[in-house]
Amino acid sequence: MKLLVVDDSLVMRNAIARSLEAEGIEEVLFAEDGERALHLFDHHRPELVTMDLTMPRLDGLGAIAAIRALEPNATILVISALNSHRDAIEAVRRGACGFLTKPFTADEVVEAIRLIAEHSRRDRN
Amino acid sequence: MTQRTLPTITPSLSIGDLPGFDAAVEIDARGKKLAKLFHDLPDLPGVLLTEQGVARSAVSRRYYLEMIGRYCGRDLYLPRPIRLMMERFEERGGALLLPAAMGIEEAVRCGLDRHPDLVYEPLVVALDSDHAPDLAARLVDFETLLVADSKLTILRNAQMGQILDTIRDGLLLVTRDQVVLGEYSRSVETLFGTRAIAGRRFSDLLGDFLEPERCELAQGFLSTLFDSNVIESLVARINPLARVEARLPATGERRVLTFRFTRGTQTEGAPTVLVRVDDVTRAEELALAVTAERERSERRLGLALALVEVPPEELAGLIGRIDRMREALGRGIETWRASAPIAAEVDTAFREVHALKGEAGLARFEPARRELHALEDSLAALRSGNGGAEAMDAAAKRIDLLGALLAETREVTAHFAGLAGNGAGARRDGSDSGLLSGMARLVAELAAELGRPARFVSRARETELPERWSGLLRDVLVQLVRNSLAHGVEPAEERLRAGKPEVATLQLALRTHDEGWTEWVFQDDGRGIDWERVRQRAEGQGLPAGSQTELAELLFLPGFSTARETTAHAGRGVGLDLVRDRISEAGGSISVHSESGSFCAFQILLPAPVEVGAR
Repeated sequence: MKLLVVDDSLVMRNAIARSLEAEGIEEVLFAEDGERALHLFDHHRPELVTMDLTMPRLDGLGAIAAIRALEPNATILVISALNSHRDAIEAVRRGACGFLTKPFTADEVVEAIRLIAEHSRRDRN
Repeated sequence: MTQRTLPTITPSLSIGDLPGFDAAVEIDARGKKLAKLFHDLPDLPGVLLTEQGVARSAVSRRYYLEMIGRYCGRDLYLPRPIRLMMERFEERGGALLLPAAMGIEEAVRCGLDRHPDLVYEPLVVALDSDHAPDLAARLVDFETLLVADSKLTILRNAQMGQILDTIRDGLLLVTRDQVVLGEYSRSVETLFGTRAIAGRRFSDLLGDFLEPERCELAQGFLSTLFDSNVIESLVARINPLARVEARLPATGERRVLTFRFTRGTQTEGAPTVLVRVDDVTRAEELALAVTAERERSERRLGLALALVEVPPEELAGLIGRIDRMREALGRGIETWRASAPIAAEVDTAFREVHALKGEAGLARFEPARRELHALEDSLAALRSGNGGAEAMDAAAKRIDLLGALLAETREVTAHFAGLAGNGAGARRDGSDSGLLSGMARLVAELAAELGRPARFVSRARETELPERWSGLLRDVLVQLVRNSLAHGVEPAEERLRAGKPEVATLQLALRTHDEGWTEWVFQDDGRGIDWERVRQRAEGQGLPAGSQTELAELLFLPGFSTARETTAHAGRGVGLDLVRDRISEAGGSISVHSESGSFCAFQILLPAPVEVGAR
């Protein structure tokens, strides 16, 4: 599985990638803002994107919409602080499949990824 | 044999319990035999067809009449084996054989799934030996099954109605258009303080007692649950109604409600979301009360720890002086309120508070020192004259807080006196002879106060203590003992769960090395240091957090874990920076070794004194 981690903080990017080390991820791509995320998504088409909401240049809400416009079936999990319910709900309405709040534990990330994998397996059947 | 009456309908009824027919004929017998059975028993809806005694199929009166009624049907089928008559039947799927244990609803589903021509054919129910030892199967009329099913549905609905009327949980169903369905529990009306909920839009309903913005968020959130791309459990955290405070429209009563949303099964009918509403007002009030009580006892504990080092006779005098000042100042403020603060009087009060603050500091009565310091600040504001009524209020409030602290101090010291029978806490009596027994007493008292059974064991004898370091040893030990009992030693239940002795052991060992060093080891068998927490905290503060040695060093940093919350998390750290300072001043060193879950040991190395105590 190819994973794209989008977050403007290096610490967060590493923490998310580290949480998923044992989860059969073959390739991890990193983006520090929405524009870079969009570029990487277009070139590599990862199966899963984790997305922060507050970022410079293109923010998470914009990036989710843009990625889903490129690929309507893209799987995007928001990992962000819950600063505003409005933005959080909007992110899901724009196509994120779930929302993990910061601070998170490694177990929570793993659990979320497993739920997503199960969900997409059921969808295919 | 026919049995027409239905048994009492219960949800656990199976098709084996339904009345049926056991008329049977061999499938290779001639059609005439079937004709005689149907003629002799006019109520018989069908006959089981067996093959060497084993039920294989069935023929209904309806099907029989259809076949016989055909052109030349009688001549064709009656003289020949029944098997021939059944060919058309078998082509369309044949008889439905079901196990006796199958439930009514499932059997109806199976029956309706048949070829349209066969939908109303009877079922063959394979029986087990419990039902009829000499019979392998029975024929159940499909109409009987449908009647049983209808009765069951009526029963279920009635039960559902009863459940919805009686359960205390607020349950309601919302459609994709966000309209509330008719089946909701009666308590919803009570919870919302509204009647006639069915058919209303969910967000409008919320509008009766929530602000419009929240209703709009709820509407947006609910819509995400109807999106199959969204994973239900991964959006639970952004539920805007996870906890809401509502004002009921009719009574204006305040209520705290929680809403949980679950997708309904989408196998039948339109998708719905089940909304569960709970009233947690009372539970929250209780939780707040519990928290307040816990804070109070933690404050008392903090006070008890702070008082450990204050000599009781000094304490009594100090409390008396502070109290007198407090009363006088309280009266003073009331008179200043009436007219205006008199500069000279405020000045006098300020100096008095300042002096008492110094005394509290000397006596190491830290909570009082802090409170007096705050009072001093508010008097300074009054003195500078830009305070007015607000500054007066602030000062009055500080006086109240100081009063509360003194009252609590009296309570705690009385409690200690009751426990130990000899004044407040461990005393500094100026002699070294009682140091180890003093420590044992301190451990016993603190352990009792904290409800954490613990004992102090010394592997050194009183006479072995190097006199030169006795003051230092006492200060350090007091700090480490507090630390241990406040953060290291687990409550008894937790210890027993972890397979440890109920009573914790705090142990002191002393060794004099030939190389001219004295080594003390203070160790407890508590929960140890949670290194992972320390690491997280370190990373959070951008501090080096590589090896465990590095992490251990952090515990001695001032400010790394001075706040209560921090110490509770890191598990250690009350004043460890001060301990290290004292030891460094004496030319020694301190290090910590701990295994999470099992022990924490402090190793202290000091230059061996020239003159050691008698051996």
